[in-house]
Amino acid sequence: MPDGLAAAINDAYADRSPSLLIANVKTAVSRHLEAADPSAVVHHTEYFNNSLAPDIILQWPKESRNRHVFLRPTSNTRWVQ
Amino acid sequence: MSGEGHQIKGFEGLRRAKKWLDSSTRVSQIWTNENRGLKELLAFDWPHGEDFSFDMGGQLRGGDLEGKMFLAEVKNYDHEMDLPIHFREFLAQCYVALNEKPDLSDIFMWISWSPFQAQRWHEHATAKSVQKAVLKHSGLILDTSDEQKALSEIDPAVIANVSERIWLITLCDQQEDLVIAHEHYVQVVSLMLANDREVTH
Repeated sequence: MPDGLAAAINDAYADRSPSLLIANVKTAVSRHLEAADPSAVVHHTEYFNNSLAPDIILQWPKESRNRHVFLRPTSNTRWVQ
Repeated sequence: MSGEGHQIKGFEGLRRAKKWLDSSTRVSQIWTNENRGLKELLAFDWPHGEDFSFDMGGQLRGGDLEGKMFLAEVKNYDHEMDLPIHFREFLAQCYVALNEKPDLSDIFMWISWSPFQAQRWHEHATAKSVQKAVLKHSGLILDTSDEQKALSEIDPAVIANVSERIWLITLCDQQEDLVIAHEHYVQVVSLMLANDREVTH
């Protein structure tokens, strides 16, 4: 993980309200994705760490399909399905 | 079973319980005691002892459950073993949790793969059982082993609230499979996402 993104996520974890903490984590990841491709449109879903529902959806103006982003707050690969 | 064996079995239970909850379509946000930065949401302090942690927590969605926060204890046991002792401790921990972080304590889930003391199943989550559990752990909660003193300090409203918030869930292998099929779940999620998503900028 890039240092800047890791630091932003660490900052996000400082909030003790689950909803704010999760919103901050998603914002940190979104900013990183947007910086990589400014043409991407980023949507946050209501989900976090769900096995099947994505946390973030990416769209591009010239593409009709969505790309789903799943966040996994663990380094244990057994949680990644 | 070795310590490592217990650890693997514990992890497997946590993974299976989370997958089953996710498959319900009623969990919006979920975290476990393995998630850095989030496991702190599951951690509590005995008022007169060290800390303890629940295994899993999160937020439910839809209908009457919308926005409800849950804390869960997962016991991957094949048979009763020492579940009664763990359950009593769980009830006492729920009493502490509701006092310390009521905003995270709408529902307390006990998830296991084995019933215990089945003849008294209907009594497991009563206010009387919660009170007995708190008395059993009165040293950690109230700094006294004197029952009368403890009884005078226990908050009956919190006892009643804990009792009403307990969900006793006993899973079996077949029940874990008997959930919405993956292809349907994907369609349901697509519908939910279409209705609920928010543009972030």
